[in-house]
Amino acid sequence: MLSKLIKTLAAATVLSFGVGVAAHAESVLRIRAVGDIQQMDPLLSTNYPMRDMSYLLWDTLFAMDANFDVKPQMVDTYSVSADGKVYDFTLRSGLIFHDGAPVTSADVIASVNRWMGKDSLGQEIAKRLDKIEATGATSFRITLKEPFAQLLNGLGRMTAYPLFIMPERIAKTPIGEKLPALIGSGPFKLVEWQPGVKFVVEKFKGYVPRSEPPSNLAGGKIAKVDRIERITIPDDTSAVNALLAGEIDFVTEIPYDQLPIVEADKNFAVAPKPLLGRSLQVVLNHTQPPFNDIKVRQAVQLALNQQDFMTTLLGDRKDLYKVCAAIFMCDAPYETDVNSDRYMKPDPEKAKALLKEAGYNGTPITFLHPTDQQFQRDMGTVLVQALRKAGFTVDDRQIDLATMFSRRNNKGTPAEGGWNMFLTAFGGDAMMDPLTNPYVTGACDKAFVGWPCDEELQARWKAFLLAGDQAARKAAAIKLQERSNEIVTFIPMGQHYGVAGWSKSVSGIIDSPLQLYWNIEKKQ
Amino acid sequence: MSNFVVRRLLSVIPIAFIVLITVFLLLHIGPGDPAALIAGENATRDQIEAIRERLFLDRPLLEQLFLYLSNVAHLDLGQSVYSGFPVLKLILQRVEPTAVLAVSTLILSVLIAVPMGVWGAWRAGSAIDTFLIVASVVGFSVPVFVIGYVLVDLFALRAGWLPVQGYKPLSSGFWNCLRSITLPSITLSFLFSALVARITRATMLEVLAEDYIRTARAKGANNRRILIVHALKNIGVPVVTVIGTSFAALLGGVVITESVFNIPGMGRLTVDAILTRDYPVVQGVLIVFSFVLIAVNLLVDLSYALFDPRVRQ
Repeated sequence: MLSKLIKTLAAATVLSFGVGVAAHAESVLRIRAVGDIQQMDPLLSTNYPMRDMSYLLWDTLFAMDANFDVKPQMVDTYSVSADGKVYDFTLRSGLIFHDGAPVTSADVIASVNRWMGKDSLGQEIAKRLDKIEATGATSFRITLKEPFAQLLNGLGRMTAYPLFIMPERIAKTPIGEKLPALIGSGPFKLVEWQPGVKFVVEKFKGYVPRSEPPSNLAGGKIAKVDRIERITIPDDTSAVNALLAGEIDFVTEIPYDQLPIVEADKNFAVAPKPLLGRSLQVVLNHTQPPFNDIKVRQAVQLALNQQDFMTTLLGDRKDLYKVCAAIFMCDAPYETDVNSDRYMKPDPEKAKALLKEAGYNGTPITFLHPTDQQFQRDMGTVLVQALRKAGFTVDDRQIDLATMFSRRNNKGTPAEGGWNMFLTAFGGDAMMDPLTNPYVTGACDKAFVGWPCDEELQARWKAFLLAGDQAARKAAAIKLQERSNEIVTFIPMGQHYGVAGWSKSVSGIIDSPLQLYWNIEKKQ
Repeated sequence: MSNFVVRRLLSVIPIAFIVLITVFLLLHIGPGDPAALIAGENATRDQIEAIRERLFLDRPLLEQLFLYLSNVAHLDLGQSVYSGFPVLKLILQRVEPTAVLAVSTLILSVLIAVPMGVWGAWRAGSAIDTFLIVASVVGFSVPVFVIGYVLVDLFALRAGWLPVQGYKPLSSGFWNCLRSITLPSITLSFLFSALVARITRATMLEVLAEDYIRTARAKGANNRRILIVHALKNIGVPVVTVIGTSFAALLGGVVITESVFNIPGMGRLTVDAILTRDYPVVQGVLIVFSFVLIAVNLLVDLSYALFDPRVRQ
């Protein structure tokens, strides 16, 4: 009787393993990236996980290549009139949506209109737009009231917010309302999405990639695996364990203290990803004392030391960070060290002297200090000590991240629930471009929280916007940094890189400031 | 007996009502603004206000409360403010992993802890009893996540017998499900077993010192009869009570265990919803957890009637 039971159990176990093996017959790339996809409307938030998955589902008219030049993606050919006001575009042939419908100019026009209602560069285009019209089933024309050299950059915007092309009926959904369906014309189509659990896409056989090799977001987007499963694993250690056990193939943001374990295993590769990494910033509230005084803000620049922050985060892993003077990221097109001396050569004594000169009377600085995020918890502690050493009085408010997000929108005094200072981070993809870097508009109430208000900065931002070519943009970006650092819109606290790890059975990962998943191959 | 059952069932109604109002108020007086979170990094004040209006967060608190109670009465727990999915659907997707984890832990714990407690009491003062006391203290003291990581290291990474993470639903086959739930259940049962074993031992010691046990011995009853017929039945009420009341602790442990083993259950849904201030989801899961606890307590109360005839009268 007992032996029969054991045989039955053994048979059932073998059968269950057999089912598991059969399920692995198709090529499935299992990835774990930090964060979760809580909503899927690429124009509703700048959530990175959602954006990265959006690039699998939806395609773009233009795309940035590895040199950060805009190249056609869905567009086949285009021309610009001599006066720079009329742009004619023709889509590549054979483009279809996941439901089988062809991509038409009507879909493009509806998508462009929706995008212009949300994206800041889209809004700049809308201000200058005379009309956008179909000139054929797959061709369309954009006519501007005045020449605007940023048009193609807008149509190929990499992040916050990319212009994804959706079917017309979906693109007519007002922003803020749930999209009725997640149908695109990208290289993968959605199979299953369970917020907090997984996001599964499979190869879209109807996708026609470009013939050029992949280069950042440009070039051919070739689906080399049948299926991609993005699994939400909230615990970093569990994610690393799952990688080591072969349950997943690719992990982003391996915790720095666990890097040696993965690096020591010959079955896995690790590398800093994404390209450019992330920049850390200290943000000051310009509307409340004492940071309504430029000298007190400059004293903060002198009080803080990037090296201390980076050492706190990464110890001796100098390969994973840069002490960086540029507010538009190092190793990026607009890198410059202009007017960065105060935070590149910190000096607490000079900070004290400047505070004295400003007549700082010890008004407490309300510092929003989230303790549920490791980098903010640890660096916040370093920040508080550095400020106190320089003579500031600091009210260290230890809170959770969600409370910080909420409270930082409060423009009132600290006693009314407002704030003076917080620490945050943005990806290099956003920080590298003055049009997506949130800090440099100087647009008062319309500016990013902290609300720096400066006409000179506004003028310089506009000069960048209207610059006609890359050389002019670079010159304008330098002037922007000069002014931004003068009035202290924020203080850069270093550039660091997350580290991704993957099984050596996986190859073809594209270098990008985003996390891209096409072109990845997996050996069975 | 029927009067007892009806009385207990009726007492649930006001409790449920208090739970609903408390859940609503707890979330609305807490810090954090879901509208700001949904709007994202670069949101303007107008965009945040528009979202607040869409979610009725700009309405007076009392109006929001009535709206909420009315919807709950119609089994409408609202929609996630992020994904737009109905909260009930999100909860139903997550019920199975948590239920399987909780039930398997409960069974495993009772199977381990009750015999352990009884044995310890029967051999009170012996080396075995001392070992069991130490084991239960350790089981109760070591954090759940530490036990989880150690078990993963031993049985998943080194031995490769069981998966590191993830949950396979029952629909994928019983053995697949069992494999995925084995380590999490063992992890969680450490805490629960320790608690139940200690109470069982203490209660059994008291019972074994009672006059009727001494009388049974005097009448010549053997050890087996004394233990099973006279003693075991009398430890039922306190042991069932501790199992019921510590069910809340079990649910707390579920939250951590689900994170360590990446089980997409109710615990993780709760934590994710709280961290993102997804009010409707938080309210939904709190209601479900509260009602489960009310139901468990009700069952515990009703089970007293089985063990103690005086309750039935």
